Amino acid sequence: MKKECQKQSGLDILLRGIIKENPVLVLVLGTCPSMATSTSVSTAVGMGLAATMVLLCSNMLISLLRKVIPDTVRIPCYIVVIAGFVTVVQMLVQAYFKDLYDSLGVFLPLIVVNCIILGRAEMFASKNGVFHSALDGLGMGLGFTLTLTVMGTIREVLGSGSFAGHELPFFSEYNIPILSQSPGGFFVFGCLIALVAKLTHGRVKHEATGCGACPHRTVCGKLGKEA
Amino acid sequence: MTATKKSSLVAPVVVLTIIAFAIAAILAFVNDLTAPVIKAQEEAAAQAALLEVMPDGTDFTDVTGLELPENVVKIQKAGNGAGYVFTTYGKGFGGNIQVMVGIDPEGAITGTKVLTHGESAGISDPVVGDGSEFQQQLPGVTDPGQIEAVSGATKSSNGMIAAIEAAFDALALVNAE
Repeated sequence: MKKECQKQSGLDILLRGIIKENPVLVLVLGTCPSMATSTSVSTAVGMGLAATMVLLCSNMLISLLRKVIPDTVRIPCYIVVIAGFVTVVQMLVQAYFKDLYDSLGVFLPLIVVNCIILGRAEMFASKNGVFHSALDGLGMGLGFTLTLTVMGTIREVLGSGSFAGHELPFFSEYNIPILSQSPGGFFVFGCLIALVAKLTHGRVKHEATGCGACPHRTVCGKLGKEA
Repeated sequence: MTATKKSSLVAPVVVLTIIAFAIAAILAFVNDLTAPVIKAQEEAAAQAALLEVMPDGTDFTDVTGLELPENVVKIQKAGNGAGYVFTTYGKGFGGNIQVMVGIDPEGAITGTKVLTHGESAGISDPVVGDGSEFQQQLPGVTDPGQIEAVSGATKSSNGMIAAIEAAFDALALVNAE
């Protein structure tokens, strides 16, 4: 099977992170922060933007350094870079967006271990130029933010009866509180994955099992080399 | 052969070290930028908390020159005689819960506010949240032994009770002066 080539146009790279290769719903990365910060729209958007900033910066820096970082220490180097940027974002958010800082709590520093960021660094930024890596970071970040916003909207409107803190007329009386808690989060998450799978069903051909079925098959590089 | 083996040991170490230094430099720079802003915010929040805990108090000054009991961070006296505000902490589920406790001259709690905590989000809200069920029972209390914990958040409740007991210890110390 011919491996899908990396010669994709910039626009393609930017847009695929939004639906086709949505990091949360298709690649199934970064599910923990998605679950935890999607209980309200404002937290969800804030988290998405913070993670996008880190993703963008780390993708660009790692891409710049890709020829310099030896293979043996690449993971520690990526982590140092990512943790550095997360700490910068954390300090800036604490100083200038205190409300967001309080609502994100421990999940802001946890962006360091958000799989999307390390995953894209390893899968894309370490093998592509700066400009494309930036676009990839931006696209994946936007996909993440969008997913979080959709989940946040569903969970806040139907679960707490408000939107971005503003009470809604009908929903504040009739709502499903479990949606604001973990089980509801998983339920919404599962429904969204199913929805996106249905939307991309015809356009993205893949097999049922093995490497061909994996969401990461286009970038992993091992497709076609399985024993 | 020896040359490649040597360089394959040196290069990774050097690169990682340089990257670590560069990132540390960036962090130091951003820290210099943001630390004063954060400090100012914390002070403003502490001032607002003082008034929340002791609404009748004005002209708060720090009480110095006393050896503070264990778990007491700060004692502030209201200039208008409304009482004392103690900043204390107690061990909760996820580390120390820092609390401000206002106690009036009759020895009754005027109000409390949780400053920082590491308790589990959501589960601990009935205890550490502002205006929580737990904290609503506190104004007027003179004996920490009578405070009831909230079921389902026992460790958080006990942490807060410990902090309040520390406040009463500090009150005894101040009154003995």
